[in-house]
Amino acid sequence: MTSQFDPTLASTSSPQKQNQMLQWLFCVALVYMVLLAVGFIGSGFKSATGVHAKELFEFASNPFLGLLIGTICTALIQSSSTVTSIIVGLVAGGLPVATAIPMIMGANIGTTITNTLVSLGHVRDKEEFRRAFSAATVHDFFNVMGVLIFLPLEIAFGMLEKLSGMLSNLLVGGDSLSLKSLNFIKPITKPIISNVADGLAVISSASWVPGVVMILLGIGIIFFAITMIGKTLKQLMVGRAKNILHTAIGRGPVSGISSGTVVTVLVQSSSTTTSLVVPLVGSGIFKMKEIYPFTLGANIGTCITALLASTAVSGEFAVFALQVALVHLLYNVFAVVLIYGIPFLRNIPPTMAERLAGVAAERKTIALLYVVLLFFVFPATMIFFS
Amino acid sequence: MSEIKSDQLIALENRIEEVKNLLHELEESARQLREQEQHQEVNHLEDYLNETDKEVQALAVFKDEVVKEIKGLIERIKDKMHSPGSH
Repeated sequence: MTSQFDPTLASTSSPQKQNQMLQWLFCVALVYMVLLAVGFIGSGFKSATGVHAKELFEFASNPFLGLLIGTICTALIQSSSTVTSIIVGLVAGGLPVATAIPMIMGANIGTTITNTLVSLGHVRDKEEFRRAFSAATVHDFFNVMGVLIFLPLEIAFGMLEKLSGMLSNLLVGGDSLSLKSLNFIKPITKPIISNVADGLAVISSASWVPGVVMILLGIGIIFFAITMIGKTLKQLMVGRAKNILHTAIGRGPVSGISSGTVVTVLVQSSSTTTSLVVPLVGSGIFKMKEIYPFTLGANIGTCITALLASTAVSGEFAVFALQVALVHLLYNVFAVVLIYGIPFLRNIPPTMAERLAGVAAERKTIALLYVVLLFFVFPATMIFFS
Repeated sequence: MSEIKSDQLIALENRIEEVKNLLHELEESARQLREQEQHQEVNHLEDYLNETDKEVQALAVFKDEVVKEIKGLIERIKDKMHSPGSH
């Protein structure tokens, strides 16, 4: 067989290279904007709430409510990276880690809406739709299952909170392995964040006004920058993503999970990775069970954004910002190891997805009800009754 | 009698082995062919990546199908209500 690697990578002409260089510079600038934005949210939240951050989020201390807030927010803006980065910023401003953990879990569920919506586009051919819808919903079922297992465990034992706390202390706390001195991001973000905070302080004598403005500015910048990063990296990384996928074809599930992780890190969006496989399965070239590990890798790969965001945070809550980013990573790694590692559990999401897709292919209204109920009506009802 | 039966058995076992080998070869060929097709599809990854931004179009197409399905359901209910046997 001839080499499957993309030859265009080796023969890029000079103007193309120049264009790529510009795109890379643009990406670096966007990443810097994300880091600044997380700092804005943290700093704004701190100045808006003072020492009352905990009381302000008292309503979300019910973990189920936190979970549903995370789900709805992510489903609405269709980006778990944006939501988790905002959560990191809020924790940097004083939001308790225990309150943020269910929100992070909710973001995992909310992000699955994108590939489910993409799968709806295959509706005109019944068989194609059945395959595409099952490829999309296998991710939904896996993430819902992850929450069903880990949220009760977290409520009962605080396992993720304790483990991430230990790790974050080890990395940036007072312990000997501290990486504080290696963090080069804070020095390049802190002066600008402080200047903006000082500049906004003149707009009102009430401390909460500039704080709220900073939070809104931060959320807006994160939303814009993460969307643009995703679009730019998609173009820049397509060649590498191809090579990774070529390498993963015909290999085992570990290779599938690894390639899903790497491709998601490259394109900085789990929605892109999981939506990418929908038409591949829909066309019948790939089987749903072949892409299932790849989809799980996307859950792990997407954690890079929150980890990166946490490096921009300074001050007394910096350790908690890293802690919540580590919770995101640990939760996704544990979910993959536990659910995919145990054969009985491993088979539940694909079986459920195949059954639902079979029914939805016959009655499209079922697919519509599934999306509306799972992502909006059920969470909204739960919030209302909480 | 037992000798004849044994020969038949040996022949059958040989045949089973042959079929098993053939099945294995067919499975291997199918796997190779599927992987080849998968590699070809991955070569068109750009097209699939563009598809990932089409949620709005996907929803529009889906809406048409759902509306068609609901209209069909309403028609069936109407027909049933107006059929001679209905009350």
